[in-house]
Amino acid sequence: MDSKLEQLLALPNVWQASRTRRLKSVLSTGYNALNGQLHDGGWPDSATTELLTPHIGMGELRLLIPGLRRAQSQRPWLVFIDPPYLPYAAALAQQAINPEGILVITPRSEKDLLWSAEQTLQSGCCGAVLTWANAVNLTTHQLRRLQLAAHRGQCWHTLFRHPQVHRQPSPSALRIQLSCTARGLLQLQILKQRGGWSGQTLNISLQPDLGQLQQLGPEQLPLPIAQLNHRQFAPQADQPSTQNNNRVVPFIKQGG
Amino acid sequence: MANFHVQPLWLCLYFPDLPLDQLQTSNDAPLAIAEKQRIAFANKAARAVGIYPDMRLATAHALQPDIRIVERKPDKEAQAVEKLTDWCYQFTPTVMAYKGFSVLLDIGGSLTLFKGLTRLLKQIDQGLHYQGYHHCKGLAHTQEAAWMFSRHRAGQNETYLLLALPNEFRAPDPHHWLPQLQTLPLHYLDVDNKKQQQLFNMGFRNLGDLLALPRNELGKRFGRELLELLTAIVGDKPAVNSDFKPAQTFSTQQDFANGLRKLDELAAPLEQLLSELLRFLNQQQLYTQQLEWRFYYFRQPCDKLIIHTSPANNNLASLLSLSKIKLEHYALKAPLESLALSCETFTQAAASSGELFPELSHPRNQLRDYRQLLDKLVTRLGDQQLKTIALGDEHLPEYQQRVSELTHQGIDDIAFNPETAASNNQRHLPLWLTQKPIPISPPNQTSGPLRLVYGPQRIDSYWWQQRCRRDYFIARHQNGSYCWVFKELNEKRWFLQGFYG
Repeated sequence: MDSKLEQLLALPNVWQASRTRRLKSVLSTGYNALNGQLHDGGWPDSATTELLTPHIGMGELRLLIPGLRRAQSQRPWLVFIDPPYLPYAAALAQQAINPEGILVITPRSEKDLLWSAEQTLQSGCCGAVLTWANAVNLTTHQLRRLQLAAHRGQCWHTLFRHPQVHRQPSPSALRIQLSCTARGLLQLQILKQRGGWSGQTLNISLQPDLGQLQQLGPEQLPLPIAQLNHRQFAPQADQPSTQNNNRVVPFIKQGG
Repeated sequence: MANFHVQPLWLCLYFPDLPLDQLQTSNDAPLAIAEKQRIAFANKAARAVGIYPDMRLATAHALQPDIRIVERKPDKEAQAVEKLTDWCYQFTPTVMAYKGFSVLLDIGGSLTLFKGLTRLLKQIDQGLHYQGYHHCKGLAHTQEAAWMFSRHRAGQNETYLLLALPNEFRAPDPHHWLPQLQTLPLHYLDVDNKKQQQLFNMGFRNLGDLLALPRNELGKRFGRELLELLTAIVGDKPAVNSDFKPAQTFSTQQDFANGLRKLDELAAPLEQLLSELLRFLNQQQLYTQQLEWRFYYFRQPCDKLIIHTSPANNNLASLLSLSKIKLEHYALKAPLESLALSCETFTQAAASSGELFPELSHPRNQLRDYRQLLDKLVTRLGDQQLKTIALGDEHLPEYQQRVSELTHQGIDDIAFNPETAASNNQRHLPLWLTQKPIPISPPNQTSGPLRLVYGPQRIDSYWWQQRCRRDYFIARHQNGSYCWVFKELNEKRWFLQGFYG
């Protein structure tokens, strides 16, 4: 059966939608599993990607890091519009992203937020624009304007929104809902993507993979306060780190 | 014979209606400028109903009851002449304001540069037309003669063939001008009315009649002044002239006689004033970093809007859009009397040269685009809303992170080094950092929202001040997110400092 199907498919006059050549320029996500699920094979360059995130700290930024690294190698400036917190320069440097190329914009109003997003997107000089609009209710018209601006400026735009808007029709090229699994993986549910079916769901282990960390057992917990007080006056208190390291669960090496 | 000495060729631009042109109003409504209860200047519509200079105001009102009369302002006129002189500096280094409303340019050396006299004059015509000034041109080998020709042309009201040269690219010899000078009516000689009458009574009608007489006898009868004037016209003696030196600060202003009420109407004046600024910058080879708009009202204090800009934005489109962005949040308090643009801080422009391989210069253009973008953002949002982060040399995370507001001086210093010292230490740092540690209740491993999953890592620093010892942990929140928390060992309190975004 299979072989017959394959024979049929091998015929040159059989056209298959999923095998058409994709000419869209994309930015590889850095995760093979995700690239495979996206019809275009990566983040849509010069379009808006919506990430629906219920809360921060679930790996929403780590998911983008390989893409940002690639984007920064082409155009050095990355713009963060209204992020929940400031990005940590040391952590970015650790991920080989130049923190000095990051511009953080904290607009005072929704109008300013949309305006700055549109301006930065269509300027055509930013590697990527990340907009946090979790607290803002964007209309379809506004989403279309952002999508058009990204298209004009050929800029990769990531728009963070609250999951409750997942039913709202959106002109964005790609929409992914993020959630955490019990095992600490990041679950991606593709709500919409250009060029084919959506509805794919996949789990991704990010770099660094914190999901591998197990809850600390009682013996790994910090010493009770009474003991700490005692150690404070002990002569070996100057080298606490070596003692601490012995008690730590071996950490999964980066890139491993 | 090679002649390296360039003959002077004086072009006189005479602005007969300067005070009227300055008001920038349409020609349709009758308008006149009055001085000492008499009409000094009248526009076309006013002249059409028979209102002419030197008429009494009462007569003018009788002829046209709804005529608008504006009081003459000599200082404003002087400013306008100065501005025009400044503008003319782009054509030749030898420029000066002259008698009446006229500007003299020695274009003898500029003919080749501007590809011939015709093109040069055309360029001047276009520029003056754009600024809304009517003018008459006179061309001669001396200043006084050029001035007389321009006056004559204004009086003639018809095309007068004195702007053609035998050679487009070279100033002709002085004797080329003599035939034309001789036919010039004496009416345009710059002497007082009494002397004019005297000359007329004696039967002198044009300059030729006067030039034919022996100078000595002429001097005895009419005095030294006339002799000196004739010498200046004919050019027997080279005139001493002081070269005009353009100003080092820039300021310009446009007045609205009727008062301007809507912001939309500002678009054209903004553009005109900015193009004046850009021409100034171009002449002086300067860049501006800060410009200031002032709004003068009839009965209100004036307002200032300051715009910061970078060299990348020193072009009309960018400056105009920056100004418009700034104006979006501005409301006119009252009818606007005048709009002024001034600029005092400049930087020397590095001579820009074209790239040998323009296709390879992509990153430079990106940098320019980025500066333009930053200017736009700063203009609308303000400095405080834009931040950059940098890696400091400290142990405590909140000090390691150097957050700085984007300043204009800082933009140029962004150094690109994609291979930033990706620190190879094994600590796992969160991508989000709270600006100050947030106090939290101690995590409990059996209940509560936070569970510690990794740690501790100790930071022990600032022993020279208030010693700071912290044990850092990675904690998992029950909703699945990972946080960076620490226990302050001196005070035994727990804090949240970041999220693993």
